[in-house]
Amino acid sequence: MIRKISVWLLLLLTFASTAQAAEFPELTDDIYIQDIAGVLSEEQEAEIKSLGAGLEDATSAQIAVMVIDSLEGEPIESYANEALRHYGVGSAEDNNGVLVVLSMTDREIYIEIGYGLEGALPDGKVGRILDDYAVPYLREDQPDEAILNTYQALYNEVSAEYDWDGEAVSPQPLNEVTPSSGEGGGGIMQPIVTFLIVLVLLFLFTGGGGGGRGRRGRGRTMRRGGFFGPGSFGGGFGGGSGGGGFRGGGGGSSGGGGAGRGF
Amino acid sequence: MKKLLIPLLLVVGLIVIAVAVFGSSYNNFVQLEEDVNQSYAQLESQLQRRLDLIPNLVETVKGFADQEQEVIDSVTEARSSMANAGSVEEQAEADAELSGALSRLLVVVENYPEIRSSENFQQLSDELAGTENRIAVARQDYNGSVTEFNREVRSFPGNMVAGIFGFDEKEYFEADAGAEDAPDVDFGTDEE
Repeated sequence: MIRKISVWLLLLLTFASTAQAAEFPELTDDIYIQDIAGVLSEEQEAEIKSLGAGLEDATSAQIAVMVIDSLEGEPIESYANEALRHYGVGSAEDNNGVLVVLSMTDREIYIEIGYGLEGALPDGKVGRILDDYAVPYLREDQPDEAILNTYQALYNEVSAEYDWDGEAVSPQPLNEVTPSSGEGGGGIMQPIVTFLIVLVLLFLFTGGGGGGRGRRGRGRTMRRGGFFGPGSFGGGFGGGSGGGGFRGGGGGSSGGGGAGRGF
Repeated sequence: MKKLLIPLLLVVGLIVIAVAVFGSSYNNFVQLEEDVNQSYAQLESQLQRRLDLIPNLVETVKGFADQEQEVIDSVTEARSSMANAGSVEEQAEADAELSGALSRLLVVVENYPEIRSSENFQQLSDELAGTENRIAVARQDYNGSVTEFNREVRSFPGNMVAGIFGFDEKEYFEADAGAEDAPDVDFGTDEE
């Protein structure tokens, strides 16, 4: 009897999950951030996108974030696993994708790690990143800061795994920021950081628009990203997905590694 | 002579078609079986990973809560029956038992704030939760590949090819319904 019920449950589960899989929102922008619940400012999204694009160009690894309103009853672990596979976060060869899922009404966050990064980001470490950079902010009702700092922490770990000295970022654990100057400090720093990044990008694109040669300083990055072709990269971020579009997943997969927290 | 030629051609033609159909079905079986084996290997390695985590977990809990011998023993016993399980069915049963024992252990740990706050335990429980999760995914992948394989065994022309070459239906990795409530991040709530 129990056996029969369990078979049914399994069938139901599989069915429910395939039905769910179809409901993942279509990408409307680069895969790095899908802020469906709308908790991030445009500057914060821009920062995540530029970090994500830089990391992908250099290492082929992708870190993606989904901020959703509700899981609609699905466990966050399986949602994250299915979403990572659905979008194919990370490259198909290396499965080096990371997906952060934050559900606002469920008050849960989960980080799913692709097969290829399980060594660099074992579950215990992912849990610590959540404890240090996500949960404290989430408890203070600052989901945007939680996402940004968690993203930076993951970015640093993945960069280190690939021995890539990407423009280093330093995520801030909440307790290191004093409450009074904290928000002000963050408020001032962020536009500056964004501005600097935009400046660097502008410089890269305008300076290098003529071809690959103008960018010797970042030669390693460019060589690794050779599939863009020397000319097309100058066209902008869309280059990766065939000109003009936005960046999707690279076909990566994962097997349920990672860690999660309620808050 | 001419009268014989047409039936002969027909027979040859039929044989060619049959060989083509059966051959591709056979190749399909080989591919599907490979998928099943691969996903089973993945599942087994995740089950093993959990087995490897348990001694460490048990030691940590023992260090703080030696008096909880009963629940600790149930974990160690379930672990050894898991390690001795042979067939897929036995493994699934042992897996469910182990999941149950582990979730009981984690419920007990709830009463010991000093365990929960220890960094070592925090890391272990993250790894355990992640592994439970990997097992769930690997089980789903495995059962998915078994479904495909078994569907082929039962449908035409696969059933004939399977009969000739001896492809049998594969066992599902099916655990008791309770095993779905694996020791997850929400240790506190006991909804069974």
